[in-house]
Amino acid sequence: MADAEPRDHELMARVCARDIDAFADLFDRYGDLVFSVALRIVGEPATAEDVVQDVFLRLWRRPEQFDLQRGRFVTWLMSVTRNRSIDERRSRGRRLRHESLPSTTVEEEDVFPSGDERDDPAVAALLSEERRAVRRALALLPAEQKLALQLAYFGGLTQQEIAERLGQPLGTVKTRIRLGMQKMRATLEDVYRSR
Amino acid sequence: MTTPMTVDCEYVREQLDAWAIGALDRADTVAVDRHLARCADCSPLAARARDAAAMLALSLPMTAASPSLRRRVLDAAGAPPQALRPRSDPGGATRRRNWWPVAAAAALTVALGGIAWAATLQSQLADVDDRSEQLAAVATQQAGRIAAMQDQVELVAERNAALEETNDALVEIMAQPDVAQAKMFGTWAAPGASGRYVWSRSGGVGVLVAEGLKPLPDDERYCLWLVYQDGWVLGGQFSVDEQGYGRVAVRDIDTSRARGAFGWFAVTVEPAAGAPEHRSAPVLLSE
Repeated sequence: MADAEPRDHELMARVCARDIDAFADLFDRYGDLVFSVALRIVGEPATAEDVVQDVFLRLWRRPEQFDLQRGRFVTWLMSVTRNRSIDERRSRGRRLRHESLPSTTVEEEDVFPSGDERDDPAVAALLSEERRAVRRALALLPAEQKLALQLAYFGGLTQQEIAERLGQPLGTVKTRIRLGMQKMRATLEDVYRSR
Repeated sequence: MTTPMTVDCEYVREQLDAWAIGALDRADTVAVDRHLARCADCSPLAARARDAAAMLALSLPMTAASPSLRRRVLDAAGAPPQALRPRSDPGGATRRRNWWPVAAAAALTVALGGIAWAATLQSQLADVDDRSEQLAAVATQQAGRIAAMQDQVELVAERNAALEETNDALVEIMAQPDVAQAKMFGTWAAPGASGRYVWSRSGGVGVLVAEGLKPLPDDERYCLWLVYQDGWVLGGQFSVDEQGYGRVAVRDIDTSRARGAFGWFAVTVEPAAGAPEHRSAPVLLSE
């Protein structure tokens, strides 16, 4: 699926040239993913939709912020989405259901609705491969490592805040995050190697 | 937690995983950003950590966004109506047509027995329908252009005011006996940017001159911060022109939020409506 990645870059190059069709294609390709991440973080569909709109309008108005030399498009898009969602959550000062200790872990929600990768077969296959790999990796992680990653990435908590919330020493939380992320990196490298 | 003002590669690499998932506190995040802006050895490792962090997002179950959101986003981006094709119709625009005039024309045809006349009427009604759609599209585009021009006028006025203010401030600073300056460099978020902050403590005034920053949308501004060990103090907001050049004068700083020793100057991107505290990663940092 090596040809899928350049296609994102090609679309972004066209967006830089103010091609609205390329922008619409990127929305069709990643709109649901951005919405899913935003919804997970802000916990409210209407607010998540506002985040999606902000993220994509920023992409349209300032496409040059994506620097091809600095990495993958989906990494950049997820980073922008996560930061924007966390900002929204903090600025509204809401306490959401998953800000407290989550009752479910990532893999417990591991249910893909059928037909959710319907729009672009090439990219859907690419993401699908990575998503399956990361789910397999997460399933093998100890629950406390998953929880630490989840509270940081989706909950917007620092290591210190996680330690306080879980009543664990800071060093323990740091170790859990480091081990969890080591596994994520190894999984990603496996995906790359298998292509 | 005390964070060293300068950090080496070993220290940064220990922090990269937590940095990538946003688990570092503000001071450590800035310390890592400062190092990555200048370390070619650590930057690839940071990219790998960011890729790994993005995988957490990919693990989520997908929830479909509402179809109206797509229309809203494309509309806000200024897409013409033909770009608003539904997702299930990637090959071309699906035109919406109100068919009741055609049905009315057909009924009239039977009543009058004039088939040829009805066909002409149907065609005319379809033409009117077409023209209405075209006129609506043109009106929408024109309204968007007028709004954009008004925004431009406001922006130019704002930049002129900033230019005058910073000129006055620079003259004032140069007349003081204790002129100091700090060079600023672009972080990983703005690798081509640079700047210089000049100030006089006795005069209580400073000026930041920045270049190589990307122009921002109307609802965002660059913010200059004075970073203390445990507190960020807002110095001022500014925008940049199309060439990425911007200036801001800093006066009457409220240092009530300053905690600990002064560390450095930083520039971040924040909402134009106001930023009581910084929320984004710095684009410029002082050396």
